[in-house]
Amino acid sequence: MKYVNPDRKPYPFCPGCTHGTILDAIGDALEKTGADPKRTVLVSDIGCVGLADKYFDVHTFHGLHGRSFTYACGVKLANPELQVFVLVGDGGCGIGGNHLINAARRNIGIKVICFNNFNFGMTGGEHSVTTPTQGKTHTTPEGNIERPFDLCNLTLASNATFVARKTAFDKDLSDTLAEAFRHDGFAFIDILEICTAYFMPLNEFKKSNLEKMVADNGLKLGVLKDEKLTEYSKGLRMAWPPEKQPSKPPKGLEAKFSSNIKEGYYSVVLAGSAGMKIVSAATNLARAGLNCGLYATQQDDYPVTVQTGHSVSEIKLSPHEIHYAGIDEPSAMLIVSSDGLQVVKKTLELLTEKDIVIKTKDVHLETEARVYDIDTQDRTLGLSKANIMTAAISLLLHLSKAIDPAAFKAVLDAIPKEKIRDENVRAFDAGAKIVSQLK
Amino acid sequence: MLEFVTGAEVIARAAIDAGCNFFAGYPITPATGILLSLVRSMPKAQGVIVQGEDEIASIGFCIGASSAGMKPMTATSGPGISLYSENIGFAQMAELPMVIINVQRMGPATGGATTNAEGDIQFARWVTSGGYPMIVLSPTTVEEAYELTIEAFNLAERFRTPVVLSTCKDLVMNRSTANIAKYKKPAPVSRKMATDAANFLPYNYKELSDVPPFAPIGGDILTRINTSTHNKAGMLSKDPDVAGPALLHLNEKIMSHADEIERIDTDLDNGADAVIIAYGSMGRASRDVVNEVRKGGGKVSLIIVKSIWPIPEKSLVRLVGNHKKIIVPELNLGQYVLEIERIFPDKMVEAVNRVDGKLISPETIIEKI
Repeated sequence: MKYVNPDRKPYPFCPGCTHGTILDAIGDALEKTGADPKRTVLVSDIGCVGLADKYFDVHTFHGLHGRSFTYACGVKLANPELQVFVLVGDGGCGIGGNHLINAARRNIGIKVICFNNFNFGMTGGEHSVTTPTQGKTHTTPEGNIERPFDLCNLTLASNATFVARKTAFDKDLSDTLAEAFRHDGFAFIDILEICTAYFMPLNEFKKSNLEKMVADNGLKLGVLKDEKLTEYSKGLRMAWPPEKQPSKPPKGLEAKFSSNIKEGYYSVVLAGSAGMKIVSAATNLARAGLNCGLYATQQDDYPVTVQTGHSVSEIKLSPHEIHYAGIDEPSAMLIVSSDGLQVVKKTLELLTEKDIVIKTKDVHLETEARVYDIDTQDRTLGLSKANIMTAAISLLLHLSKAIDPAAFKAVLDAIPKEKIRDENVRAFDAGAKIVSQLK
Repeated sequence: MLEFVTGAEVIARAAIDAGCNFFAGYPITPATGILLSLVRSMPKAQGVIVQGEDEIASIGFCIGASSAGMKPMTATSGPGISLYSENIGFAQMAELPMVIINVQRMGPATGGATTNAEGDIQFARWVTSGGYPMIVLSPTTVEEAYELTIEAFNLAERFRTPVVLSTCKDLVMNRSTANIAKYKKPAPVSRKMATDAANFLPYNYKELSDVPPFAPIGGDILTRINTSTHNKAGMLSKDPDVAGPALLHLNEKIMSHADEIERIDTDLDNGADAVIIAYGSMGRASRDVVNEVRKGGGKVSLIIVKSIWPIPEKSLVRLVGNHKKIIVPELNLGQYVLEIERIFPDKMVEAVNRVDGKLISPETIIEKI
């Protein structure tokens, strides 16, 4: 046989154990399907079955307990042309259950062959996820009080495209395995057998008992499902372009505008609530800085909630590289909600009369800085929750002239989505209008 | 020309430029941006990208892909890197290259997902059982994040080992200016492939420090990948005469090449009493400390360690030289400083620490000088 190397035999399993029978059947099944050993990969899990690698003259891969499914998936995802099969025990199907059901669900074309002997053999006869209720093991000395998984039902419920149940005593085992190998998709084969070291002596569980268990529980043997569906690793390649494309090169912003920030830092704190586009508005302010040849940093702060709570951004602008992105004394603070105010209250105390605060009318605060209000009730301004911060930035730039307001306008004009662009440009105009009304 | 980018976008771009053709990851703030960036660019580069069912699966997929000859990467944060632990050991033991981006966040466990910290520095060194060396790089800026991501791939391939890029929420999620002219692109390196099929052994080393030539799973040379202690043929063995040297080899192939792995930036001030040793975001902020001090006519030196593990001990001894005082600012309770105290028992070593999610201001560091 060209898959199992006879020179390395005998197998190292206990007398009477059927692991060797199954391994031979796998060799026969590979023979029947004409598998190329160089394109065949055996991935073994932990436990007695993990000793199988060296008896096979194919690519072999021995990994961590329960994770064999993931390694096999990784190999298959890397190279869809390979015949990748996993040798795993019932223990591995327990610890790696999440990987098993997800490989099944995705239809990644690995073949999972479960050596199911109802307990852990290598570690000394402990119970597993398939130990029958009342089954005795060294961790269930009075009988198992848990109910077992039916691994076939589990994988069927996970949308596996091929599922079969066999016993190690079935004469046609290699035929069923060959069917699984020929299936272009995920396959699970549950092979029931006997652990002669532990489960057999502890439960007087012989071949006849196994047969009785199959009959009593109405377990169907043979192929339970065989469905055609695009195999995952092949499917994902269908979305690839015909030619490899290089990464997109960085998009630089040309300095077309001027700024009055000639040294040090100009720092702005932007505070509002989730849903008010604070982070985007802040990014636009920073980009406006880049349009003037300035360096910028942005620090965002928000809670882990998504559409509730505060949203605060800090923008630091400078004509030289910025190493420390923190803001100790801002030049301006834009506060458009009371959520935002709560978070930046302390920073407000640092402002002096030369600094600027822009706020919406609903925000109440005390500060030494010059304060400007935005009246969100003024319908002529065309403001909404989503563009108030942009109006505040526009107002700030028109007042302070720290950077040319046109540099900010250019960023807004370049927003690709029309609706968002219009909304932002409207807010920019609102800022300019508020300033003109001041005069 | 300047661009305004997140570290996530830059790391994703660097990965593609390094020849990365496989990414698996599980969404986790603040690392998700890397996954989101690559979801668009990886298929265009004819690479595989998968969102795993959890972090364990994600790194497991990477291990499988690496064994088949791909250049994989994954990215995560605190809880995820904790789950990676077991499989990082696998990648070390089976000598499978891959890059792991660890985007640090505040605190243990779920901690502060959207808040900055650099608390996994010692964890990165001892991230898996057994105690074998890890290569860990740490960028201070987005430009460096680009270069060091490529270097991480190159070192992983060169030494057939997992490499961690240790970064943080501030760099990866926040935007900052990158000077496009400053992006350095090292030439991509690929692992040395086996050519002699007849005499091939998957874990073949003559000297303990050798890096074994590689044959991919599924290629024309049959190979064996093994996470258990194994002989050179990849077969399980715990014979002391086999397993002993094999484990020493894992140590030697990294430690005897420490000079090749070392990446340090220095800004030494002749006659300065104090030197700052920093990495990551505090390495970046420390540049401002140096500028401020010198502007005021004072003197201070700066050593930025970009290859934090293995710690570049010999170079640090040489560079610290006659400085009397070493200042180590860190966004944790004092982790790298333990190494500095070990290396410099006779110097005055001062730790500056902060763990509330905020950066240590240059003024705070200046006070210590």
